[in-house]
Amino acid sequence: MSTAARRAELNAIERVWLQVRRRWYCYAGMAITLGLLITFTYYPAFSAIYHSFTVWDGYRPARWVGLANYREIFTSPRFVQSFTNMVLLSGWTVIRGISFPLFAAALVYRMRRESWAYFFRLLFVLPIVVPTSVTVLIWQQLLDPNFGLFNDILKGLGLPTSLWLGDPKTALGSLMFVGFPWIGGVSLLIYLAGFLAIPSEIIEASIVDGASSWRRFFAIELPLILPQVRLLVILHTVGALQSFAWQLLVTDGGPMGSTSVPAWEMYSQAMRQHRFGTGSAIGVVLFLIIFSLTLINRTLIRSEVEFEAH
Amino acid sequence: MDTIEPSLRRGRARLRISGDVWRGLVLGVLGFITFLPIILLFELSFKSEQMMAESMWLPALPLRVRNYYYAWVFMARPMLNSIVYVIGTLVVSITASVLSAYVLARYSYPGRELLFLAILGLMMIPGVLTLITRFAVVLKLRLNNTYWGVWLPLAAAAQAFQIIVLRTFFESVPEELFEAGRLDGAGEFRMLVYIALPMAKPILTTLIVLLTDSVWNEFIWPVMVMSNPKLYPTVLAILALRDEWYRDADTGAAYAAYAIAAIPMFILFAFSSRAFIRGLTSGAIKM
Repeated sequence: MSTAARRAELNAIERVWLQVRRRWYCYAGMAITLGLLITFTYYPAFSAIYHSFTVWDGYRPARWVGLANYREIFTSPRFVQSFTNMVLLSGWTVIRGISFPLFAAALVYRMRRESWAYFFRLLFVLPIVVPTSVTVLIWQQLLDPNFGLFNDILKGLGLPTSLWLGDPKTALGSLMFVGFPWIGGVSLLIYLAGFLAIPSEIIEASIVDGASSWRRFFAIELPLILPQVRLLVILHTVGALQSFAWQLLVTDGGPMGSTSVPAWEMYSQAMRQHRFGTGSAIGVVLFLIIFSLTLINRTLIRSEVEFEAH
Repeated sequence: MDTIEPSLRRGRARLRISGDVWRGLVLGVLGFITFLPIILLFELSFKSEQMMAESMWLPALPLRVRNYYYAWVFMARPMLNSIVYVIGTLVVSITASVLSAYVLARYSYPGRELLFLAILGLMMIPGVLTLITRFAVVLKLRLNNTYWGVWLPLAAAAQAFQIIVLRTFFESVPEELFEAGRLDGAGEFRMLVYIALPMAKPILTTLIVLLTDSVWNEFIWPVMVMSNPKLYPTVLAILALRDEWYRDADTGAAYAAYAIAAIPMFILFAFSSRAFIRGLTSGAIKM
């Protein structure tokens, strides 16, 4: 390298350094954020990936074991069952999470009286403020084999009662039923925002053309709120794959692993059995699943936009 | 067109009313079922053990208000803890994200794009990947069983969303306002406090309401880092109650405690329903 070029390079570095010093307060402004993110997000993310290849108790030095944790996850019946449960549970969570709120939102949207529409919107949004843990505890009580509301009703009708969460055969189904009629307030709000963004001329035109209410819904409104549907698919998928509130608060993944999901296995491996390595490996697998599902969903959105441009 | 319009409108007017009635009926039934668990919770919270033994789910008189007194004695401390968790997380999180978003939006400096990418990249890291290693970090730093062990990680988790929302807002503030401030001799920090922040009040309210709700409801993280019952937040206390009162059999008071745990967010919602609803639908920004 010639001396001139080296000097130019030195000058460039010096210039950047000068700018850095002049704008020192910008870096100072971001210091808290960066400290928080490095300590509690980026470092733990890399630590999880590294430790997924080790045996580790979370505190003492880890021992490298290669792919052993992953081999265990994909072969042990316990984990395989939890993945099967996850597919069923989150599949159903996504389906019910996009369909039932859509039905309710379409009805609220069609309300001609502003005050009624406003009332029903509020009615479905209000339950959001009840803490998840409280909701879980109430439903646990409703499903109780001895004092639960459902068995009381069945008894009153002279029908056989059920153990609900206590029976491996019915436990997962009971979890799927929880939250009936599954009209999530946030989803309803997102749909309503989508409905209200539809230009009123389009709706007016379809009414003048004599389109029935059903036809209007499927031919005009549904295609126009597809972005909202896709958004909710992502939000529900990502949420469902990560959640283990019921397992933590009520079922412990049982009876006999019938309600277990990988996120719960991760938690219990680490927190109950001090197997942070195996836990990390489950976390990495879940991360890869979530990451690829998000990517797939994004490509779908992009192609949709291009399609609309024609 | 003029001739069709009035008759069309009249025809629709008749349809409107009958349509609204059946829609209202369907939504009313669905809404009632949605609310039933909450209604039953409040009903149970006023019953005595005796009444529950006779009939668990049917309403009974007289209302046993004493349940709420027993529950309150137990819940006062956890409620106070929860308030401390909420306020501490808010202070750390909002301070950090306002400062970061402000410099990202207003100044150009070496590495700015890279730093913003590092914050955007957080959106791709799900909480489940970092949960247990974050716990290991907190253990290493000896923050378990301290307030900081809740404040800092929960504040970190909220950074990406808050910074993206605030940066977009600060970018939309016209540059002339800051020029005027500069002519008046205001320093960079003064301009943030006296020009940018007052304008950001609505969006800050939304972020504060949203974070308050999520910290109040958070239970997985406190379960992990809090083993000292004196530091339990509200939602952990009611879990402890469930297990304790299953044995001691004062179930009515336990239900009163559940109800008490839900009431603060009802109040927050009542005072800020607009900010609340705006925040909940802004999940769309997360895309």
